[in-house]
Amino acid sequence: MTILPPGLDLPSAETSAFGLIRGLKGHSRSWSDLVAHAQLVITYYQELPANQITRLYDICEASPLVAASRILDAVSMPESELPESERQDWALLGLLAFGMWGNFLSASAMKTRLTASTLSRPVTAAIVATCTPQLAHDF
Amino acid sequence: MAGVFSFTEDSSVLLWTGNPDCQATHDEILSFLTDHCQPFPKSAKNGDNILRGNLGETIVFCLGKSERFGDECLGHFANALRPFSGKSNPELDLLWVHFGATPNDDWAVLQEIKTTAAQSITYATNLIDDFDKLFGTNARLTLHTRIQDFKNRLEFEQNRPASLIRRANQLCGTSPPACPRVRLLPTVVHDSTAVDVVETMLLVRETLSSKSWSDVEPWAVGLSSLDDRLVRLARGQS
Repeated sequence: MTILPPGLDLPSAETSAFGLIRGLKGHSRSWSDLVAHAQLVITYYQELPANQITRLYDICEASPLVAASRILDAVSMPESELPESERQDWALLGLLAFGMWGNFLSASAMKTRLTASTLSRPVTAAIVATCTPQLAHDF
Repeated sequence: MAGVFSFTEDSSVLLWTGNPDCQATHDEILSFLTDHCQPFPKSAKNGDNILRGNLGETIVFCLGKSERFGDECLGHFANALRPFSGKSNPELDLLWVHFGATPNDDWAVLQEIKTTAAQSITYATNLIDDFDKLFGTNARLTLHTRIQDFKNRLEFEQNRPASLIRRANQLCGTSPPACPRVRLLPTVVHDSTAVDVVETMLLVRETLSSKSWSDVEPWAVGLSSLDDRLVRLARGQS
């Protein structure tokens, strides 16, 4: 569906992300490499025309976006050992990525990582309410 | 403004200066500031690092616009068009994007700028950190975020066609070697009496190349009496 550039190994990137937060040896990839992959995937998938958006409910079509979501899920965990301020931004982007393919439950889980300070920003509230429609009444 | 900068090349570093002299360049930049960036601050003074940095970006913007990128490039400029805002936006300083006849002809130039009036420009080695952030873990400073910001402006501020905006995606890969159509221009604005310009900018170039950036062209913009000149520009004085 979406033509991604060649050479992306997203399954490996997703596995590396989970390996990193578990402290497993043998994963030489860095967080900066992994989040660049996630951002690239989101960039391409957002070009999908609005009238074709339901295609993202097909897990096969959305699989790169699923991998991107999971990478962002991992990097926003405290175990990534990134600064809190950076993890907040990745958590919000992860919430957005889950929301893009209709996984509103996982998007809601990502919301729990956001601090009150992050949620208090009007633009953040708009993003969260869009990606977690079941929680929209909170905003 | 064309013609008020000239350059020589030394060991792959482009050494820009005023043409025919720095005062002529000063007067053209002052004209630009008067036309586009007023009001001038009421109490500009030496030692204001934000003002110095922002005006350095304005000077390099004028240089790039007049001598290299003209009207054929689109762009996004962090502080160059708002030098008197009193704050410094930490985004990529200057982004120039050229959309060619086909997507294969597209390219981007990323320009980070440091401004120092010191006799030694070792401060310019901080340019390396600035470019490292393009593939770092701060989401607000990555190249993808910067390109996304650029695309948003094309779409929502300039109503450019979607087919054009999509092409910007292809400029940005997942690492420096995956961005073959991106050129880095690490740039220092310095006093013309500085003593270590070429060696410092060569160090910046070599370090960036060692990080797998394939196309790096250092610029050094030397102006006489820089600190005094920047204060006069900020006060709207010739």
